[in-house]
Amino acid sequence: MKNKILRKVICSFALALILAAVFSVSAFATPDTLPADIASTNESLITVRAPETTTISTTNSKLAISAVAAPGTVVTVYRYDVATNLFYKVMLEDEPLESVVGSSWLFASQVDLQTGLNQFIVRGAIDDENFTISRFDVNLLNEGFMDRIKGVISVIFN
Amino acid sequence: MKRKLILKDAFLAFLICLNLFLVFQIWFNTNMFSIDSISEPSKIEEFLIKPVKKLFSKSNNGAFSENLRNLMRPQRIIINKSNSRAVLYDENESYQELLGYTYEIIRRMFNGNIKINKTETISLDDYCAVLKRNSVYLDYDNFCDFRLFSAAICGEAKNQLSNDLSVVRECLLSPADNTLNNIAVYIKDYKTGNVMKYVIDEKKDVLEQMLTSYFQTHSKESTLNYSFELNFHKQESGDGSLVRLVFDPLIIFNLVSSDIQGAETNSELLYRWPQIQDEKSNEILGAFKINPMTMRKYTNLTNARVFVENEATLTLSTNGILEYKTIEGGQGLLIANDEQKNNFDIYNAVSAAVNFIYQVNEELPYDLISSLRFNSDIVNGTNQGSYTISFDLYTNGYPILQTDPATGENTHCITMRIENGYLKYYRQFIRKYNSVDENLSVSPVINAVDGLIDDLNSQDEHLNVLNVGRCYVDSGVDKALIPQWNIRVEGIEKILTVK
Repeated sequence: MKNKILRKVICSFALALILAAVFSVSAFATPDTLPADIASTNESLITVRAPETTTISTTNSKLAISAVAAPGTVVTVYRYDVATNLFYKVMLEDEPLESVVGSSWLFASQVDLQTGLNQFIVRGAIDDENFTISRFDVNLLNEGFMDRIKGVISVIFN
Repeated sequence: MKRKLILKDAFLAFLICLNLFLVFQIWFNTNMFSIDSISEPSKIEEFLIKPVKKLFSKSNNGAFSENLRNLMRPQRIIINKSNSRAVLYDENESYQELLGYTYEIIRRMFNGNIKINKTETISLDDYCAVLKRNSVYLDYDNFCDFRLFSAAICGEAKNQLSNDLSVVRECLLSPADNTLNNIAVYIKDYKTGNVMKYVIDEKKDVLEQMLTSYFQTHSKESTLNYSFELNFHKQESGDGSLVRLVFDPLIIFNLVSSDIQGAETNSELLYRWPQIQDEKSNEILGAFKINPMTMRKYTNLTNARVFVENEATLTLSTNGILEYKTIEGGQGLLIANDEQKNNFDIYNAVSAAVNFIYQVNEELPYDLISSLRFNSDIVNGTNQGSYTISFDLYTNGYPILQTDPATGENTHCITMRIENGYLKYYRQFIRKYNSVDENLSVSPVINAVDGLIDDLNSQDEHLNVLNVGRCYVDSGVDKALIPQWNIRVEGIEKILTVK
C-alpha cells in the first residue's frame, strides 16, 4: 500500500517535470499550414527587413529573409502551395524554418527559390491569438535566359 | 739599438698572445659555448654560420616587406559565383591558390606593370552588388595604413594608387562587367569612404575558371549572407524607427550552426619552456638589450625570473608568459632607428615592431612566426606617436586568444605598446597549437549576438557591431581550445567573445 502511494508520487513528480520542460521550451505550437487569406491580429509584432519590398524579381535562387521582433517572438516562414491554396511551413533539413527571437531582436534565414513565382508569409507570434502576418512575392528569373542576353552583349562589345 | 728592437718584438708577441688568450676566454669560457661543445655542428651553425649569413642576407627593406606580408594575410577569402558562396581560411589549399593569384595581379597593378584602363569612384550599393556577383574578396578584418598594405604586397610604401587610398581593410577582384573581358579591382578607402574601382588590362578568364573549378569540386550549398543582404547594416527599421543593433555591411552571417576543426595547445613547448629559457636566455635578453650577466635579477614567488634594467623589468614566467614593462616615467627600449624615430607614424611603428617581433621569436626553437598575424588596426590614431599593436597565433585559419591568468580576460598572443620609437610594453604568450581530428560545432552568428547582448547586459539604445569572426580561446586550463565568436563593438576596447 505504502509502495503504491510512493510510486504514484514519483510518477506524478516525473510527469510534472516533463510538462514543465515541454512548456518552458515552447509555450505554444505554430500551425503547420495557414489559409491563403490569413490576416494579422496584431500589426506590430514583427518588421521584415529583407526583402525590402513586397514584390521582387531575382536571378539568385537563394533568398535571404530577415526580420526584427521583440525577444520571445516565434518567427516562422511559410511558402504558398497553389494546389491546396494553403501556406506551408518551409522545411530545411526536415526542420521548419522557425526560431524564437533572442536578446538581439533579430531573425535571419534563407530559403531556396523555385523558378517562377514564389509567395511567402513570415509570421511573428507571441501566442496563439497574437500574430503578425507579413507577405512578399519573389519572382525567380531563368538564369539561362539572362546568360544568353549577356552572351550576345559580350560578343558585340569584344 | 738591436736589443731595443728585440724587446719591442717580444712585447708585441706578448700582446698578440694575450689577445688570443682573452678572445679564447670570452668565446669558450662564457655562456656562448663551452669548449666541450665546440665540435657540435648546431653550435657552429648558430654562432659562426648564421651571423655570417646575416651579413649577406636581403636588404632590410626587402626583409621587412616579406615579413610584413607573412604577418598581414587576409583573415578570410570569400568567393562568390552565381548562387554559390564560400569562405576560405588560411591553411586551405584553395585559399593559398587564390591568394597567390590575386596578390600577383595586385602587385603588378601597384608596380605599374598592368595598365589601369579606367579609374572611377562607385557607390556603396554598387560595391555591395559586386560582392554578390562573381568575385574574390580578400578580407583583412583590421584597418590598415595603405603604405603598409602596399609595402606588404609590392615591397614599396608608395605606388600609383597612393593618392586615392590611405586606410584600407579589404580588396575585391571581379570581372569588370558582363560585357568587357577585363578584371576590376575594388578597394574602399575607409578614411574618405570612397570606393575606388580600377578596371585593369587583365583578362578575366583565369579568375572565372578558378571560381568555376572551386565550385565544381566543393559544395554549392551556402547559408552565408552579408549583413547588407539582410539589411542589418541600416540604422532605420522598415517602419522608420531606429534599430538597436547596426552591423558593418560586410559582416558575414552564417545562418546555421557549422563545424570547425578542433585544436589544442602543444604541451611539449610549455613543458620545455623552463629549459628553453635557459638555453635561449642570451637571445631573449639580447632582444630586450638586457645584459645576461646583470646583477639586478631575481626569482619571484611564482618562480618567474625577473630582470631589472634600463628603467624596465623583463619577467619570464614559468607558464610561458614573457612580459616587458617600463616603470612609470621610464624611457623604455629604443627599437626604432634614428630615421624612424624622427617621424614616428604608424608606418615606422609597424616597421620597428615587425623587426622586433622577428628578433624575439626567430631564435626560439619552435617556429611561431609563421603562425603569427596582425590582429589590431594598424592606422594612425588620435594619439600620434603612440601605438598599441597586437598579434595572434592562427591555427586552422582562426586566431587564438589567450585567457590572461591575472585578469581572467581574453587577450592577444602579443601586445606591444610603442611610443616615439621606444618600446614601453611587450607581452607574449609563448605558445604553439596543433590541429586535432575532431569537428566542433559553432552556433550561428545571430545566436552569438544574442549571447553578447546578454553578457553585456547593456541598456544602450544603440550598438555598432564592427566585426564578427570565429576564434579559439586558450583558457590556460584545458589542453583543448574552445571555438568562440569574437565580436568587436564600437566604443568597447575589451575583447568580447561568446560561444
